[in-house]
Amino acid sequence: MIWLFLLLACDPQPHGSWSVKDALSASLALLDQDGDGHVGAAEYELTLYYGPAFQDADQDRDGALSAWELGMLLKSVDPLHFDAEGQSDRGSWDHAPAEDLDHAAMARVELLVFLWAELLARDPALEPPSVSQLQELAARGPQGAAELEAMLVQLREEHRRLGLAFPKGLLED
Amino acid sequence: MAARLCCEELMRRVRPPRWNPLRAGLHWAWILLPLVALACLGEAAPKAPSVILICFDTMRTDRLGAYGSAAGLTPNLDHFAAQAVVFEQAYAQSSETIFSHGSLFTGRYPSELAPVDDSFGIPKQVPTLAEVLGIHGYATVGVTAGGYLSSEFGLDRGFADYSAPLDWASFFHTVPRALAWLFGAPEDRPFFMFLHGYDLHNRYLKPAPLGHLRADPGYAGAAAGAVRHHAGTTRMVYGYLHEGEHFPNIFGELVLRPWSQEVRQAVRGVAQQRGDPVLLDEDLDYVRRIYDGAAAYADAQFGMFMGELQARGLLDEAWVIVMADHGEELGEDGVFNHRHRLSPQTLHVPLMVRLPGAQAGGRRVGEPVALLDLMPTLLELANAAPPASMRGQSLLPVLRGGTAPRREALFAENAWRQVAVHDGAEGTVFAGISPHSPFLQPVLAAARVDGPAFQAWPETPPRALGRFKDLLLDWRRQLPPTPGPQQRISPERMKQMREQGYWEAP
Repeated sequence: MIWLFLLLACDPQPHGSWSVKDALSASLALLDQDGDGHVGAAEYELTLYYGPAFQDADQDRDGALSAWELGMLLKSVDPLHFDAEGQSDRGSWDHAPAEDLDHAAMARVELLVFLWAELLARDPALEPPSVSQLQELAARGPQGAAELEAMLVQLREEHRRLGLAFPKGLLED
Repeated sequence: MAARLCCEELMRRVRPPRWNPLRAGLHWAWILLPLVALACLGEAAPKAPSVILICFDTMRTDRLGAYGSAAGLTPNLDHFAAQAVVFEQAYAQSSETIFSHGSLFTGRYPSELAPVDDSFGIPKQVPTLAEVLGIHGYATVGVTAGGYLSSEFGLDRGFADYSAPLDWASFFHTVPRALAWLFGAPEDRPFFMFLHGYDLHNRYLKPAPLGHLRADPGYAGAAAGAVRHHAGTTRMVYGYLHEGEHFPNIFGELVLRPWSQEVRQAVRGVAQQRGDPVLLDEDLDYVRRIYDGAAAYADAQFGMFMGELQARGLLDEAWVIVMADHGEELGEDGVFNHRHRLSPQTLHVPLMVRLPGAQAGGRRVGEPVALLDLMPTLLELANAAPPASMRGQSLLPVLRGGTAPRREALFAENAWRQVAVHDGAEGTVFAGISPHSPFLQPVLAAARVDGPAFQAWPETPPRALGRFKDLLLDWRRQLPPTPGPQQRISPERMKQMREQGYWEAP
């Protein structure tokens, strides 16, 4: 899979089309400084500043940073709070990848992750469900609608409590 | 029960298709048949499309491959450019976020709306882009990264849904909220989304690995702190990192007379006396490289967002516009940041318009255009009548293959009564001081006797000065009187903004 990503990075995206994978592959290619087609530990460490060590970023432990793994870094490390100058870290809340989920389920996970992350930025004492719990919920499809509704209602209440706007249209009442 | 149904829908798919002819054919027949009939008569207005307007706050054109950069920092924006109509000479109407967006959202120059200072806002009687689109049936949403786009500054008017949950935030924060909104976006009408990120704004430094893409993570020189603080690079002036007060307070003369060698020497003298850190070439280079990393970071976040739009089927039906509200100075002429003065680096901005299905992709337009042209463009696209007195001109004809609007000159404004003129004939951006400045009456009284009421950058051809002056004065005569203050910032917020380097008036 990793080589497929890197292969994609070598070819321009087809005119008019987009995919998250292609976009990340294009960004990953910027890190491939020796042009050998993969981003190894040495190249990663060249750019490292207050970020996860290579062995943590390389989650599948194949010795190269994949487009997916780059995406996880981009989606999980808050640019306002990531170094010694930042006010705080988002905490230990894990944003683990789940490549086996389809796009729609991943999008649902990211929606929930985002809504929880917004709350945690204001109230670090909150205890959100784990990402694996969210993935399990998102993968359930229509059978999980009641549970999803309950979570969205909870999120909306918390947003209101903390003075945050809750996205319109997610709950129709 | 309604919420349950909504969640079931959410569980079925990322976003329902916008129109299912098999299911909705009968429902829509009564609307479509008259439209088809009208179309046969040649009188039907085209269906108004959804529009996604994406603002890369503080993005310089010269970091984009599409605008000539060979650095390869922005593969996704360059891919976008290949699918879009690229305006090579687009200019902002201010180098400050709040004024530029006020102009963008109204199609007017900043001083037509309010004093160009900390009382700036949009008067109630002036319609906004979101307001007019909403009246014409659009669902409107603004997802912004705060700062001067926070609701308290009034630029949210007309948006049915508007958020700015954090200050000086990134696409990291705003893209997920935009995607969350798209989950619940209405199916039966077009939408207008304004998406914004401060990724290239101070503070420049972004997380690894892209944040230090072109810079040494081990750097510990004098500029190390400047890239980590929102007000950091405002203090980098003429080879020194000025400590203590922010630069406009100390060096107000520099803002008002940026061409003056005497002022430069005075600025350096103050820094030497105080023992401020000297900035070497390697320090300046580090800052530029960190800005480059921010460009690559923003590009990656943008690329992921575009992928999500494609997955939702939106790229075949929506217009996507990429722009910046202003650029940034990165040490040209010794100054960093964008707040201090109007210059080619702060006013020349990217503007790329991707039509549905990437029609006309790769086309380039060389004529000068302005950000205030976007409002009339989008209103025409939405079949909406433009409000009276808008200064902008619709770009729709040129986007559809015609010629760009012709205008004699473009103007820009900033705090401290700065103005700039872009003269298409001279091809030069000129920065100077408005003759209406209350700060400058003694200076201008003398200047009126001696010649031009303002001065040029050193490289400006002398023969252009007279023309610039005429253009500027003609423009000011055409503008209505500037309305009074539109808002009063709370003391707490003002304190916070000052900590970020704002409103240290000379």
